[in-house]
Amino acid sequence: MEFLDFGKYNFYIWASYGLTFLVLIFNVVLPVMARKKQLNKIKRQNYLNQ
Amino acid sequence: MNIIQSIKRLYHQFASPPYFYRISGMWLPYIMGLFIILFGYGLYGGLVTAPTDYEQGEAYRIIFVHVPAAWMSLFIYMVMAVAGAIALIWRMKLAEIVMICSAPIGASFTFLALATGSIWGKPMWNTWWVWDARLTSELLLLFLYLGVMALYNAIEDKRTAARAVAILALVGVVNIPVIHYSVEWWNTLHQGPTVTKFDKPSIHLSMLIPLLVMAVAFKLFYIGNLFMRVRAELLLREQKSKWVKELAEQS
Amino acid sequence: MFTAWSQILKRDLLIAFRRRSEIIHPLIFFVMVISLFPLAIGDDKVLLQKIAPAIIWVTALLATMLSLDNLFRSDFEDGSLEQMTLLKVPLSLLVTAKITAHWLITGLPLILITPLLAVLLYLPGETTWMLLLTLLLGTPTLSLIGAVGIALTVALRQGGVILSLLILPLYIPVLIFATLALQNTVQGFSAEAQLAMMLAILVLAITLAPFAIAAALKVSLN
Repeated sequence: MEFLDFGKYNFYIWASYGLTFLVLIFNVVLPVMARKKQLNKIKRQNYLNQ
Repeated sequence: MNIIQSIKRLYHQFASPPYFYRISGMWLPYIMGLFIILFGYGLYGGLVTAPTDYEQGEAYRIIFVHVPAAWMSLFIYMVMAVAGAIALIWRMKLAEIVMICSAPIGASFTFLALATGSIWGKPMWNTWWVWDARLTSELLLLFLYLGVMALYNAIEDKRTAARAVAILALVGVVNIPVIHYSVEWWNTLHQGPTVTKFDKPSIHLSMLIPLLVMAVAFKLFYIGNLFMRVRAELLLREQKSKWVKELAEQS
Repeated sequence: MFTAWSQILKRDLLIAFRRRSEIIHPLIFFVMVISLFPLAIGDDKVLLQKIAPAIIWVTALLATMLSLDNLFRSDFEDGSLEQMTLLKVPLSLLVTAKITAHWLITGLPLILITPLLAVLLYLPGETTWMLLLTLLLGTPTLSLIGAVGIALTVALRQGGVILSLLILPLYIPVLIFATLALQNTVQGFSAEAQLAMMLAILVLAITLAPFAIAAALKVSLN
């Protein structure tokens, strides 16, 4: 994997791409979890209202 | 008469929350799948295949996330403003939701553009920040996004909030070219110690292709993430309605 | 139509003269904050002269922002704002009357007291004239843009904090062009282009802002 070594710029490049990954993943996780939570909440309310 | 009727039908169909929920759910895996493929290809192109830049060495590779992120920050704001206009004029609930769900995604990309720009600046020009025209405009764009999100959160009734935010977003749209133009003017008059010059008129194809691929990948991410957020928001807003209750049962 | 407009203008001016604090407080804020700078920096004539335009402009911005609450709050609370929406005259037009009054109450005194402050900051005459001109072109724009912000937030509890977040990004181009004009003047160049841009922004604000403000007020009245 030598071609992934960018010499003195390693930190900067990996910081940038790493940050990109984090931002993208964070944006995916948030709404997906919110949706699941909401569905569970509604299920519970359905059950309680029966 | 028939055409108008079918357009009306399409409009009502499209604007209907359960329909959108269903359709977006269907498309989501394909959108995200395609995103992952293109993102991977862009990464490979940017980090592996693209040659070392003559002037900037390896650090220029940050461009493959920095520039698409900046493009997205502007693109998403436009979408948000258009959705806002539609929400204001036609009171379409779905337009309101699309508008408000776009804001955090736009803010994320703006933040990413700023952060990667800053990280790029350190090795290149030995500074974490410079009041470059583009960075400054991006910073102000971030403030516009944050303002939209803050205003929406501050108003309790979400339909009223959406209308207020739509007005704000539209006012902001008028201001975006003003901001960019004024900052560019401001920046060129004070020739800073550095000039961000990576728009060479002729960019090597092996650099251009990963860039464009990443740009498309980011667009796909936006659409997919938008769908995810809109679906979550629809469930929240429509929780009292029958279709949501039935949906919860089936899940 | 014009009578309604002028009546609202007269009424706002009258109220302001009765509640003189509306005029005095932003002015005192303006003078005091500007005075803080020579106190903090020390009597460095060269440095003060250099940053004087910037200080005056930023403080003018902040003072305008502080004064915006007066624009719609009392009318909002006692119901007169709602009355205005019911008139046959379009709200966007009536709003310009209120903003004119607001500028006469806040912007104009600011401009009038600036020469005094220019002396405190060792600003030479030529630059002071340019400063006054930029303030003349800029403060109405600040009132107009600010009115959009306050119209959106007047019904909110924490309105003041959000107000600054909303309108400061929109204020920045005005600030940039004004200070560019002043820097050009200091260096002996012509500031025509920047002044033209400020005028253009003012015209844009006059034509578009009233509609946004009216729409925002209707949302807030909900």
